[in-house]
Amino acid sequence: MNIRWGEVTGALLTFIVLVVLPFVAINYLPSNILSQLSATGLDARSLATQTAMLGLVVSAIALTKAVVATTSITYLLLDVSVNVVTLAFALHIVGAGNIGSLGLSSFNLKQGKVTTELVIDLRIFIYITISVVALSVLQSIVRFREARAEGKRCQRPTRAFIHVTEYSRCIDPSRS
Amino acid sequence: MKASRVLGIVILILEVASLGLFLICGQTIFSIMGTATPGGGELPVVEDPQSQTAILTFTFTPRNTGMLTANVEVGLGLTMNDGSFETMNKTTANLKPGVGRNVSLSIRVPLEALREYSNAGGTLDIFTSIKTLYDIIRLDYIVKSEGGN
Repeated sequence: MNIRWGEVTGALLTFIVLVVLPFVAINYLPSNILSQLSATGLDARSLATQTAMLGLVVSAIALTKAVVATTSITYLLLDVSVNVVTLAFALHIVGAGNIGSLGLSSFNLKQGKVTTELVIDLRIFIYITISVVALSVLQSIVRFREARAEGKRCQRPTRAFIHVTEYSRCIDPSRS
Repeated sequence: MKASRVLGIVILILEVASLGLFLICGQTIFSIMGTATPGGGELPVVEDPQSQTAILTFTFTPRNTGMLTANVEVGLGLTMNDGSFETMNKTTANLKPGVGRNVSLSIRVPLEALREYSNAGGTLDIFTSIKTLYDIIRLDYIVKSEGGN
């Protein structure tokens, strides 16, 4: 099994940022802030848990990717699924836990006789994220095709000497 | 250069630009929000017994300490719960970075409606809407205060 340690490190970092950090942050938040957020309809603990769950999925896929051959169809599918989960993650964060809001969030807080309503329109960032994810999926497909083409070019030669030279370039790019 | 690498650079530029835009817009909106939103206190009421009306005035002091130009819409209104009376006075101020403005809004309310409001029959509505980045990013802040003790 060929392990790409760079991708393993990336998966580990993803795990720390998206799984460990939300749990640590929520435990450091004072309880009065948590109850204030809860009064607006935003359950911070639930939001942190959902963020960590999505983070866990992303880091698990990223870790699996690190051990799968870049020329296999599994790698392409994993690469695309990371992008799709990343989109879900962005929708989740910008929508403050409500993926269906698509970046248009609304919060209500009633304290005694005063009702406060807050509406935040961040839909442009959702459109940008969708564009980034679409480009990332395209990049995954292009990278996969490039890896396959490279793989075909670098198959072990059997006869001609010229092919041996080319093969040596494939396994040691510094020779080219 | 490989096509995948070119795409990677485009994606990176998009990501960095959107993150920068998010931070700049957030800083602009929250800098105005801190000054434009109502902080409580007494609302001056001037009664006119002849016309049996009262004038309520509220002064907003939005100040843009952010990096982008913003349009700030502020409004003051009174709404009766039974729908018998409803009024709202709104205005919009265009604030360039570093610019502040005092905006006074008044509404004329019948004394009867004001009495009804005092008996918890309605809400005093204070509305602030901050838009930036060519009005693409928006934050609305609406405070509805019920009358009565």
